[in-house]
Amino acid sequence: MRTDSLTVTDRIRREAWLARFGFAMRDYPARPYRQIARDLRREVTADAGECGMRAALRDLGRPASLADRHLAELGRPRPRWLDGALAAGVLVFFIPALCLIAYGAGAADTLASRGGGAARLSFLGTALHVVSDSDGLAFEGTMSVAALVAFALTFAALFATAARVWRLWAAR
Amino acid sequence: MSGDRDSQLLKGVLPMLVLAALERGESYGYALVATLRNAGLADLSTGSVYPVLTRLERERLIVSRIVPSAAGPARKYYAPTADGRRELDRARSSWLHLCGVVGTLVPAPAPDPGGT
Repeated sequence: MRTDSLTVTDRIRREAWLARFGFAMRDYPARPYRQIARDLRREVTADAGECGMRAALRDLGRPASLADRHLAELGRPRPRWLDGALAAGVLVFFIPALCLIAYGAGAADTLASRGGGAARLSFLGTALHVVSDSDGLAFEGTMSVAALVAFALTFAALFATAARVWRLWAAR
Repeated sequence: MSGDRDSQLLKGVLPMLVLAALERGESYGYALVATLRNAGLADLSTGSVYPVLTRLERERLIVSRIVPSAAGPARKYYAPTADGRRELDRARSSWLHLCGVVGTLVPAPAPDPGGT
């Protein structure tokens, strides 16, 4: 089977497998990863000529398992950038957003318990307008550019600090 | 769970087996897997061997070259370097030493007198 004789289905199957492998290899050093991906595409295409694309991919195993083996063969732990970014994002954006919602809901509830009204508040650099009347409770928040920058800087600082701590821990 | 233990055992010796197979002649990944399967590692997959080839090449224990094929896509052929041959000698010595220790501590089971 020549490369150019691969069926469309085989190409899609191969590229889907390689895409999953690429995602699983996201923490692998970029340049060697590109070489591995090039080799793998060529070898699996050639292997498919001997046993068929389905069997060639089955023989490679799950993309995540092959990526784990490649990472293990590196012989040293790698920074997990995506995991770190997700953790920092949860700490800096998601948890403060939950606090903001809880704060706004609490303020609206307090207004409701006093018979209704409106209030302008500030929390975590966000201007809140809270309303409670006979139609129900409502609040809206507006974050200033300065507050957004402060959050982004906090995100970057947390990410850099955690990455440094991780490197020190990994180098033990 | 013996499968897991066997897998761990194999992981430790696979680089040596790959180097030994390549010492017999340069080969590409799929053919190498076929050679090792024919030697008795029936469950071996390309997914186990390709990362080992990548590591051995990174450590300059093997070198590769792309060989075009008239019948299909080009193949990447591997061959051991001088360092790779030295590493194979070292690994072989370590393995034989380990076999000696295991043979001393874990003797082969005595033959069944009943012959069953």
